[in-house]
Amino acid sequence: MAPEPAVIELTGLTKYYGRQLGVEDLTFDVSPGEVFGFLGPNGAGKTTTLRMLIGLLRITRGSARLLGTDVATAPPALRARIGYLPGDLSLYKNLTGREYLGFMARMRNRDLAERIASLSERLNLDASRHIHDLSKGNQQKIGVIQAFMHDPEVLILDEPTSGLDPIVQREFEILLDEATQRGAAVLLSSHILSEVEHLAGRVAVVNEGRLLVVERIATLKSRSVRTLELTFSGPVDPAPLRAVPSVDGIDVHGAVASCTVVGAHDELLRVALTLGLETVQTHEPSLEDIFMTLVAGGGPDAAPPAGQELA
Amino acid sequence: MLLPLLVKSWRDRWRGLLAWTTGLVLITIVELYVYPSIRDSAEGMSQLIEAFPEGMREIFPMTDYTSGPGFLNVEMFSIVVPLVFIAVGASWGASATADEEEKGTADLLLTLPVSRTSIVVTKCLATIAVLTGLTAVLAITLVIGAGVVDMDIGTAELVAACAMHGLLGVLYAGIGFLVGAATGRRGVALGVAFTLAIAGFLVYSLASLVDFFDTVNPANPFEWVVGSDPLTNGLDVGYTVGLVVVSLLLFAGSAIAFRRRDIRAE
Repeated sequence: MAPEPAVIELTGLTKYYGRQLGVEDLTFDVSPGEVFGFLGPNGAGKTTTLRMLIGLLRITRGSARLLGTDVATAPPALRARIGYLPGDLSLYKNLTGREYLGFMARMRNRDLAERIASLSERLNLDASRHIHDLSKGNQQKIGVIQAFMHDPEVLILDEPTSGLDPIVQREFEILLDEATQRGAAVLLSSHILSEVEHLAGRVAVVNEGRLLVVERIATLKSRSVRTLELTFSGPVDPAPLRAVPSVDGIDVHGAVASCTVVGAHDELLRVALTLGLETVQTHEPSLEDIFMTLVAGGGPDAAPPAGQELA
Repeated sequence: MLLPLLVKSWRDRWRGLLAWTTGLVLITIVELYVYPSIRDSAEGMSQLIEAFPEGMREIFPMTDYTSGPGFLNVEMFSIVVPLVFIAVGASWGASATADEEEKGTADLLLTLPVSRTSIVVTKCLATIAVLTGLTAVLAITLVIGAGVVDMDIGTAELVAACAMHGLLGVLYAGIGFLVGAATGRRGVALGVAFTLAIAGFLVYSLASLVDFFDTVNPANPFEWVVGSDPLTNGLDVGYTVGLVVVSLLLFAGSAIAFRRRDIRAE
């Protein structure tokens, strides 16, 4: 299958605020129909990157292209095809939800009244209330609607699910699905892995303004450090477990062994079975675990060749 | 020009504007109401004025206080009218982009498919229209009121004075706009505009007493507007053109500054 041209392309994208580093040398692509996660702790440079893409910040070095157009020189009309949700949403609080969304639609030179009404209903938003009377979660719904209402081909979403209750979150995921079905590319930032992992296929992980890795989430997780709690039928000898290569550390209390494991678990489990394994409890790796793995491993360059494949 | 944004700018601030307009109209009516009694006591007045210290008389030219133009100059067009126009202009200018930035609403406004220049142009037009409206209200009140109290003053002179003060407001709006667009800080923009307004007023008022002020006064918008005494002399075309040109430069500078600005998340 011929690779589709990327909708979002970052090449060596760099931002300095004066002498202070924002982000440095970010390179990755997002294809049509793809949801791409952008992960990192607070202050890693996620928001800086997204704001450069939408044109709020000027690019220091490198380039960013959306739909084939360089954002640094793009005409404003390009943004008609882009939806953006800022991380720290701030709306015109003196307006009602409907007035706000109507204003945004008119500024886009579009009549979206029906679309706004149907999205408001789907997200269970009372659009007739003044925004200053709405909770943060309800304001976030308005943010989501204004990002999706014009059916953009590119969606740039900065921590989109913050403040949404689970039911609305579900509806948001359906909206995302609909967007990708019609070929939209989605770049979605988060500092919480579990928020992204069932939405995104691939993620870029950034820390302190630098790209650590671009990878499929599944691959990232399988390579990550995680803790397995093995319970045996009786007191267990840690030595054979410690001898397994994927085991990084082990802590035994009577019949329970907590093993820190990097990579596959099969050999550890095989050895454990011979020692009288009864139950296994595993904890999903958190973003922190993945960071620790990546930072300890020295980032993408130090990753094993098998994990280097970027698509 | 972005019509929805223009309408929104007015809608957001009509209450404050109504307050300023009402205040200005009320002051005008009160002043015109007392004018006949001032005129009828011309003799006593001139004695009173002579009793003022020399310096006071230099600052506030009260020599012909009992004539129509003299009275309006002292009572309204040397402080109150410039103050109102500058206050309205500077606050609209300073808020135009900086308020959106500080509140964070610029985050979504600037991601719409419209250029930053068109946003600046729209907000400039909104401000100019507001000052034009205020000018018209003042001029109409004065022309009607002067007729009612039978003041000896020409309609053309009244309109010229209102227009030139309106332009003074536009110029200070431009200062507020430029500083706000360049810094993203409404408070800084307001501070600079008001500081320059006070400086302009002091330089104009004290020019006859301080040599340095006298040297720089020809470049002072207060001198152009208040000093040219349009109530007596009518519209000064040269100074009016000067006000328009400086204002246009300030607004153009605002657009350039705003286009270059990084809109940072706090």
